[in-house]
Amino acid sequence: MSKKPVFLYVEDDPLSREVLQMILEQGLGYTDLFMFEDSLDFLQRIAALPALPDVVFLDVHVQPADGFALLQMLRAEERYQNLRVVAVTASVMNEEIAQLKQAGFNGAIGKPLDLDTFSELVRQILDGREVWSVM
Amino acid sequence: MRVQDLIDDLDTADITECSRIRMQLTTIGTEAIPFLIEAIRTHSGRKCWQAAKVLVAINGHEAIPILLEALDSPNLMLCQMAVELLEELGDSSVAPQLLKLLDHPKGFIRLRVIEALGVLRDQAAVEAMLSLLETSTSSAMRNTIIRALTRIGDQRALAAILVWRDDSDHHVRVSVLEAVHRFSIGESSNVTAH
Repeated sequence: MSKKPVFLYVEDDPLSREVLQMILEQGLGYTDLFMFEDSLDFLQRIAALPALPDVVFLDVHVQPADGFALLQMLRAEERYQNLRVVAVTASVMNEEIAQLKQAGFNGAIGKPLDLDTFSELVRQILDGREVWSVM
Repeated sequence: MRVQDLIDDLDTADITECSRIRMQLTTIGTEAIPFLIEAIRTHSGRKCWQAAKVLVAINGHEAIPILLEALDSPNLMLCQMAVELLEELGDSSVAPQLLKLLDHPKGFIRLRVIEALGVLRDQAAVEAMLSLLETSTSSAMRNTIIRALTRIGDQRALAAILVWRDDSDHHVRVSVLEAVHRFSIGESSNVTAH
């Protein structure tokens, strides 16, 4: 990927947003990050962004529409078909991971995010690989 | 290429390139150690925390004093990386220094410290964690504390954890159930009664 990647994070918990923002911006130097604190009017808000995100991180249990519903909305729109959509979850249950894979997520990352692990995962995501790293 | 040049290049924003440089430095080994320590002590940019990572890869537990120094760094990424590396090294003797960071002004550092203290199973952290659990407005914080307390396995924590069984956050509710399960079957290897 030659241009600087653009990220979107949909997450209702302010601390989780702070963690990802710190790691992406200060840790990795990626400054093109947009954040939604809920999933209200999701498609309208994503369409209104000044740049199309390359990677969307979704909190699976965000409200009012959850991560699965948001993924469906995105995949239903042709222009978002190729977005890499990664679930961010604190869940450790294998069933949820299986559901995420089946739903068509490009990966899942466990909370809390590690600077060390997350750096490597972002590299893999930007390389177009799937990442399934839930502790 | 000189070691110092490689270390300066750790500031690159290219993650792949950075990973390659880290491998080169790790291969160089002990000769790189003084340069790595100097880079960490600059507290500057990305290279200081990348250097910390390489130092641990080369020097393992010998890096602990430098990592403890880094906990006080104004570079928050270095501080965060030091916490992660100390957790990874698994030496519980560092827990008292980590415990002091529960007062850190940045929530994301506190969050990472709680995770580390849980992994290190630090009994001394239980009181402070219980206090944070009671006052936290962040579901991510509550969830991390509950998971850490479950790992530590101190029976005093169970009642405080149960308070959150109807939390609005799904992950917190799941962690409470997990805690109840673990405490009830004594699965935590060091569940202790007080």
